[in-house]
Amino acid sequence: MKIYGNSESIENAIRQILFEKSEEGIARITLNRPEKHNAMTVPMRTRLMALLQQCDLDETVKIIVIAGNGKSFCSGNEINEDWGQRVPGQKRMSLTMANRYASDLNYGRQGFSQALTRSKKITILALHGYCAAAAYFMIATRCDLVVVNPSSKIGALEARFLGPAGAVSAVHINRILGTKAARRYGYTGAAMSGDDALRIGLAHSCVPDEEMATEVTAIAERLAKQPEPILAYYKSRICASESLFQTNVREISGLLFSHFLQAGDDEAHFWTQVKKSGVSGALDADKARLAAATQKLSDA
Amino acid sequence: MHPASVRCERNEGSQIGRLIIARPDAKNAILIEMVGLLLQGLDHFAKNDDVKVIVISAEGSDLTSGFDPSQVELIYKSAPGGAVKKVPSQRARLMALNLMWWGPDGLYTRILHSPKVTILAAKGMCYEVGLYLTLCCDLVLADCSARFANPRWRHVGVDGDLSMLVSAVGLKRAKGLLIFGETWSASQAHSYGLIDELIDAQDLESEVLKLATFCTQVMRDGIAAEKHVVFASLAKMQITTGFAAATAVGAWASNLHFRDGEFNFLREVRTHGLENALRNAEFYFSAL
Amino acid sequence: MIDLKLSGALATITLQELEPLSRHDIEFALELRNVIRDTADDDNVKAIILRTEGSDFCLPPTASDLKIAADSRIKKAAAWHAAYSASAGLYQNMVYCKKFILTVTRGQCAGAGSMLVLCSDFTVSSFDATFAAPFAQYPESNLVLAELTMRLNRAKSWMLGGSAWSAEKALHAGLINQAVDAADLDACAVSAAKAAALMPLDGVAMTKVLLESFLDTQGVGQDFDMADFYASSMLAAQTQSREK
Repeated sequence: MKIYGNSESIENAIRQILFEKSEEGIARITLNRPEKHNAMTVPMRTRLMALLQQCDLDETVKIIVIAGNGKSFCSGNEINEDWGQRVPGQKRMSLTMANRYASDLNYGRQGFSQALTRSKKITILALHGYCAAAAYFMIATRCDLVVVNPSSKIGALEARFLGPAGAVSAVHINRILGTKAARRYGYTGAAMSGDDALRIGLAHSCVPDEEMATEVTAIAERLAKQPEPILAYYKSRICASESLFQTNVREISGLLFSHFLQAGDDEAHFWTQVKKSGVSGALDADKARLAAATQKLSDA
Repeated sequence: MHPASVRCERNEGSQIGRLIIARPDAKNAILIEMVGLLLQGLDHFAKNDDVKVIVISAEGSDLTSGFDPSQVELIYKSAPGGAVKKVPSQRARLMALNLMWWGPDGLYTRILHSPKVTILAAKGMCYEVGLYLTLCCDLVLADCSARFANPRWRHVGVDGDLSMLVSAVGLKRAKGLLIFGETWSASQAHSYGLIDELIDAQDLESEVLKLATFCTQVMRDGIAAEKHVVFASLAKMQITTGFAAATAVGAWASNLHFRDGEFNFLREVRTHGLENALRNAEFYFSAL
Repeated sequence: MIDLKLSGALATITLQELEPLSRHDIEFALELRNVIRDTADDDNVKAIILRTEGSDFCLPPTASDLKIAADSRIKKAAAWHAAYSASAGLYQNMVYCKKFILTVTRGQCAGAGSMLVLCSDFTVSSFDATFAAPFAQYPESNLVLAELTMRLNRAKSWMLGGSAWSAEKALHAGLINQAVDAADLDACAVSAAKAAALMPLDGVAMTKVLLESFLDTQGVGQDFDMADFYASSMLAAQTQSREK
């Protein structure tokens, strides 16, 4: 299988996605790139997928816990990453590359998000801090049980400047949040708090940050007391129902268009801004733009 | 001839289009002409590249009490095969329901498939058509006076799409409204996931505009890309099937037979109007 | 022992206990199925109340209950299918019933009781009621129906959460419709049933035709159809667990 990424991101992935397994059969996959809010490079996602597939084959693994080191679970995919998409002499993104990015390296049948939703093991997510973009679409809304804390900020937080890109159209998100909440969070890019996530039905439980590790461990240990074949049966029931309910696959996604969006003269183009002032500059410019629009409305 | 009862407005340079239902003296009961004006307005804003968001609101204290019952027969009689015999035919009813509400050019389909973000300002009665405006618009802000129901259903049976309601609030909760005669307050609607936010009445207009402005910050290409893939996922969630079923069952409903002892709601509506029919129904059943 | 009382458009089915269903008692299921089916076919009836006597709707199955249920599935597979998982079986008769069914619950609701709550149109419970998920133990339990009722993650949370839900939590999730004082339970159920029974008979038919079509487009019928596979899969899992 072709390995995508650059030499640095490929080399770092093993340190940026940690793995351990307890005697009770609880596997822990921990995102470990806290200096970048655990933003996932392509090699990190590839490693995540490989670990999930490894757990599928390991009868001693009963439960998978996914978590992130640092202040946030995960801010999404690494923006503006060199993963091998640039073809020498080719200036524009092609459909082949867009599909490779959107599908293979994200939500497609062979991608890490499908490995997660179709995992043969029950998955528990410890979600603290930010959980945005790909982390929201492809991890938080794919794990079986999600534990959050009140100050969690969850959602398609990039929707305002990158487009909703699947946040509204994804059937699984509609079925988890309800159609209205899916639209609300998708079209506004607003953040769901941990309390919101519990109230709406995304989260299994919402506990203070200092209790999160205990809560997740307690859930994992309780489930892990059951024999592995029984847990596999539960997971097979869940997977079958998701097939019937049409939530475990992705449909045509707005993510396919992400690299091709054209900004109007009166609109800010995120990628153009990134080239000018980097990602932080682009995010700051977006905030300023929103503040100005809201102020204009207040003055009217 | 009724005065223009849906206004289509946009401030110069604004990215927000407004459709305002304006028949407050009749509780914004929807006439055939008003459906046409809403469709025209949706089309007008869909074709305007400057517009990103469409806000639907209403004058007066109610969003709408529903479709004006005085024109129900007219819809059917106007359809092909509708005036051949004394009673409109099945084909006329099917075509009328498809054309007016559930088919590709029907009001609910056109709102659901709007290429722009749609925001509804809900207040007072949000009945029948109002309930479906709530379901089909992307975002809904309501003031505390808003209440959501389809009062006819408990007296005749359910004849509308189920899929949007169940997808929003869940199956058994939906049945409370569909079958068991519930009217949901704004607070209940918010708790159940039917609406997005509950706003104080005096702030409804400003909060709707604020939300609309927020949504205008998304790139046109971004809105359009998402909207068009939403259409695919609506089909995947079988909303299209639900709409087709609503047409079929809505027409089938014309063959409804009230047995001895049952309250002939449709005759009451024809004779005394909808409000009186509902009131008389309450008296009838309380006496049982 | 199934007691049926008819009063105008309302039918009330009262059972002494529901636990035989959690033991996959074939005759019991067929008898209840017959009463529901035949009552639904009565043109005078529009709403059916399903309730039990006693302080609990359906107690959690014991290890012995589960063993008896498993034996029933294995040794009387065809009969089990006919009674529990077939389209003519008990649960599908409820979900696709021609009339509205209300379940009335108090105390513990587990095992087959939770299935009956899921399969009914409306549920009124006492404040003290609790609801345990049935999916781990009963292959005929319909997870798609639960997902459609309370949203996807809540259904998973109920299934994997390990504890019965309170009435408050069940109400918030949409598993039940009303939670009331125990003293008012039956009266509230009757009031709700009467509200539903205002609908003309033809209107009930219309509503149920729409619902039936809708449920099958969402995968509910298909999940029922898979029950025999789930039963085999559960048996294999249990066998493997014992061998380890």
